[in-house]
Amino acid sequence: MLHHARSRQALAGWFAVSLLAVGVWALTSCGTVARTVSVPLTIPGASYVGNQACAECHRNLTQVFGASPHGRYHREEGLRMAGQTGCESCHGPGSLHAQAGGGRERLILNPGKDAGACLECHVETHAELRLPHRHPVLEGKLSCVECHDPHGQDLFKAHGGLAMARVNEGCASCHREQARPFVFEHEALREGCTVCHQAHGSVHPALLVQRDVNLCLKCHAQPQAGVGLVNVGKMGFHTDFVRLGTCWTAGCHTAVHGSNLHPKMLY
Amino acid sequence: MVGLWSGAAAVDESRLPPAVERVVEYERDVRPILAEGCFRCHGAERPKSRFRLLEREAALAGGELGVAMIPGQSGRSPLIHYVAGLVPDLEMPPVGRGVPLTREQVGVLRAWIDQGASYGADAGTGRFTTLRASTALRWMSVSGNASRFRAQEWQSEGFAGGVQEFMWEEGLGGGRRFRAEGRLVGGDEDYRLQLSYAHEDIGFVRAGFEQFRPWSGDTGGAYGPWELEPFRLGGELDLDYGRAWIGAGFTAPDFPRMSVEYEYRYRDGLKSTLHWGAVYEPVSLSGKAVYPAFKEVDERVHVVSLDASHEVFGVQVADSFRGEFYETRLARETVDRFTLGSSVADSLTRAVEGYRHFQGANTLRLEKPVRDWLFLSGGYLYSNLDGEGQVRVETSFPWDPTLGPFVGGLSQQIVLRREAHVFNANAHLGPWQGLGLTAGVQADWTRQRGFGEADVFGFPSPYSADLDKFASDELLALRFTRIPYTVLYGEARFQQEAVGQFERKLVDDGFDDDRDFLRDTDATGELADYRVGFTHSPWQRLALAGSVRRRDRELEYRLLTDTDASGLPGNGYPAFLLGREVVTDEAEAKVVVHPARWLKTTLKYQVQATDYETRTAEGVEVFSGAAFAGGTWHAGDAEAQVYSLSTTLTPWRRLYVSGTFSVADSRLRTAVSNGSSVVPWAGDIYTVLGSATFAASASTDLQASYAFSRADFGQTEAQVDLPLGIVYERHGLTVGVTRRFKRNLTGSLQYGWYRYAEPTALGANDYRAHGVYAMLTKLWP
Repeated sequence: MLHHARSRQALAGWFAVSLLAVGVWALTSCGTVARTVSVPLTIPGASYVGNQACAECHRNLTQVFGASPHGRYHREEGLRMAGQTGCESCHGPGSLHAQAGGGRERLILNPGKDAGACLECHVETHAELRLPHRHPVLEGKLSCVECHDPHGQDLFKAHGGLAMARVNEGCASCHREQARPFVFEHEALREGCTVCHQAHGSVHPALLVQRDVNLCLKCHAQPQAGVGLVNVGKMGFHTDFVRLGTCWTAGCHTAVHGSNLHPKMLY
Repeated sequence: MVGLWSGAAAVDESRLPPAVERVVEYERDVRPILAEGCFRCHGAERPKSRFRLLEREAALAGGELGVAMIPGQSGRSPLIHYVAGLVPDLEMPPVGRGVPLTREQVGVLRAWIDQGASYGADAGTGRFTTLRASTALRWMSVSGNASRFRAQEWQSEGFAGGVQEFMWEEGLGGGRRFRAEGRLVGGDEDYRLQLSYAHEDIGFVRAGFEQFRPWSGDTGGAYGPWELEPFRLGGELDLDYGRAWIGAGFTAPDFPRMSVEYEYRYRDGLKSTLHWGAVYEPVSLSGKAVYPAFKEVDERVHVVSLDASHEVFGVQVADSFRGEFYETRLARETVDRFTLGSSVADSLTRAVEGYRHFQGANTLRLEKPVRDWLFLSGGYLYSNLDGEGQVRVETSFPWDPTLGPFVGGLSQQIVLRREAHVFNANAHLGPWQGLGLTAGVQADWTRQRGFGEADVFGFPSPYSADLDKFASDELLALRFTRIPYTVLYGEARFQQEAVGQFERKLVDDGFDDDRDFLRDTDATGELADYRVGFTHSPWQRLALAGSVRRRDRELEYRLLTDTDASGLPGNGYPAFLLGREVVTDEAEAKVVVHPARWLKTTLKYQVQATDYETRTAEGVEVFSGAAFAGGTWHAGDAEAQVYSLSTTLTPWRRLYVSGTFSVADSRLRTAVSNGSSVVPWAGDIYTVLGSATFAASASTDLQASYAFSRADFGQTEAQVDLPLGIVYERHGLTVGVTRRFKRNLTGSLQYGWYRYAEPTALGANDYRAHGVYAMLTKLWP
């Protein structure tokens, strides 16, 4: 037993020494490698030029940008901390882009292709996009701008200009099956998909906000006819059903987005 | 015939700085001057006065004001007159928009023009080739639940690979450009190809195809007391999302911009659903909905888009038309009942739905920058949808194939029509003395009609539903920037809504029963959404932001009719609900600290609280006769807090480390979740993300990244021992090395390790995976 303990100590010692050696090598060799790693939102050799320079060519975007949600952080002459407000906080420093005469994706970052710029500020969204169930943004199959218009007045809008978005329009472009009309619609859809779904990512399948009957009961809870009973509408007897699982399981209200057959969305 | 710029004739050439007396080279001597002072406005995109300086051909052709450069005659070249500041109101760069050129710099440009205005062999022709391609190969080994691994990690097990990314861009000169990019990864069935050809003065042609494949887990629920492994569907559940498109546009200057595009979208495959079926224990007859379910999806969409825009009398007019033909076939299969110990389900329901529609939508938008401080816009959207569908619901009994299947619901004649008109008008004013104002109104009217003729156990059952909705939105937003280094903002959004809804369903079976349904409801809704906040950065090393928001949504119902053919009142749901109010309060605070060049930290805190309230009339439960009390009822409340921290660290220029830490704590308690039947929904989610890159040598980088998340949504109340909540831990680690073999050839090798454990599924969803990734990237030139 003592022998094993000494072996483990020796192993740990060698590991510590090796780690120290690697660290010392890493630090002392800095001067021998004239290279820097690429830090996100930097463009090698570029510097910040300010919002006014961008406006000279991109006036169609800058003239309405102040009205957008991102305009909340926007000053024409900027804040003291560089890259915290305005165009270059998302697109990176623009001096080289301007000197090159512009050009799509030339010497400028395009957050539409890489969500990194967005996640610099939307830290909590970065965490949500790593949850088990998520829209595959970090996997490169979707981008933020497919749902959000970063320059427009409403982040959930499909069209340009100042117009306000219609509810669910952003989701409907991909999820037509759920957003199509139904003879008997679920009224919750009028309030928006996010009543039930957490758009960026969730720990639950189907990006649900909650996974049990509480998801439904937050809107459908009502006065009860007895203690411990769960009655929904004037037809009670839901107590045993909710103990079975959720409202949409066990062959009950399965048509959660709406039904073309049954007013209570049983099919 | 060579013309001169207006005003050039009046220039006294003797006032020009002399040309430098040496041979100048474009890249070394001229390009830096043009890049600093000219390209910003006279570059590739939207060049001022339509004068491009990037290419020799375009530069010699001149712009709106005529020829700018005359090779060999710099003294007569208007460009030199302007950069020398000799023409009033046409000084270049314009006053206040750049630093005037020095006499030496003007002399260099003169010499360049006198020597022929050459752009060099490789520059200024607009001809170039850029090609980048990365090939990749991955091998992944998974032990445990492979379907869960595929669903969560978006990767398949075994070998996968192909072209991870490629980009080929060809500058053809004369403003013509070809570009192709995409990926082709077999195994993951992940494909993308985008092709485009553009001529800056004429238009573009583009086409493409892309597809990706999400997978579904195949496991149902777990119910601990049965001590059984959860049921699984088996097999691979995948659903391909794809689209292909082709389009062309006309973008010549001075003409209306027009484009036309055809797009084909599809979804095809299988996915698991959460319609878990009921499983019963044969002795106690206690049941839990834990049997997994799935759905077949076959969806096709054809979209034709026509877009046109033009400036007419200073007004930007844009019109967009979308014509969409949508068709889908869905088949959902759910086990209704399964008895423990059986080899097959007691009963199984298969709901097959077909649906298709044509929807045409047209949007007209007008925009006009009236003054520097006034921007107006308005628009009108009209859409019309015409659809039809069928539904067939069959129940079969696998334990006895001689029974059934029985058709529980059938409708072959479903018709849907929807029409919408939307108007909006908006104005953006200011800023005056730092104050900017945005105001907008939008009116949205929608009418929907639905009809069907169902067959319920052989009895005809006509049904219909009409919905008329009018909503008016108003928006007002203020932004104030007069306070140094500060933005103050306030926003208010209001909505008034009126809904008229009429629904009926009758079963012509000779009996009065509870399937009959008739409801006529008027509803009015109001929304008030307020937000105020600030952004402040008093020092270069600190920025602060904060906001508070209140959203109040209120609905009132007027039940004009609520009867059914059986004579039982109030069969319609919710029958006695008179109103609902949802109030949400939010606050957010953010601090960004950048104490040194090598350290930047963002700390964010968000809190949200929601109250749900319902108002009901008195009522009687239909079967028991028990009375419901009327009045206002606190239906539920929810709280959520999110703490997020993100740090980037570059202690040495060869080391970059970033990390994100997030904790989300949420709880929802409804008035029914009192512990006896339903427990509150509450839990925490922890997320840790980290990555590091270290430049080990001039040609070698070491990388590592780690992702961890953990959720704790366990429910412990005895009577609902079904863990619909989730407790899990998930780890993902990759380490690798990237090495540049030659100037344009890079290779990387990575190892990935993944682990997922979910005790609430009794381990049925657990997996471990190891993978090796190899990638080779080549750049040309």
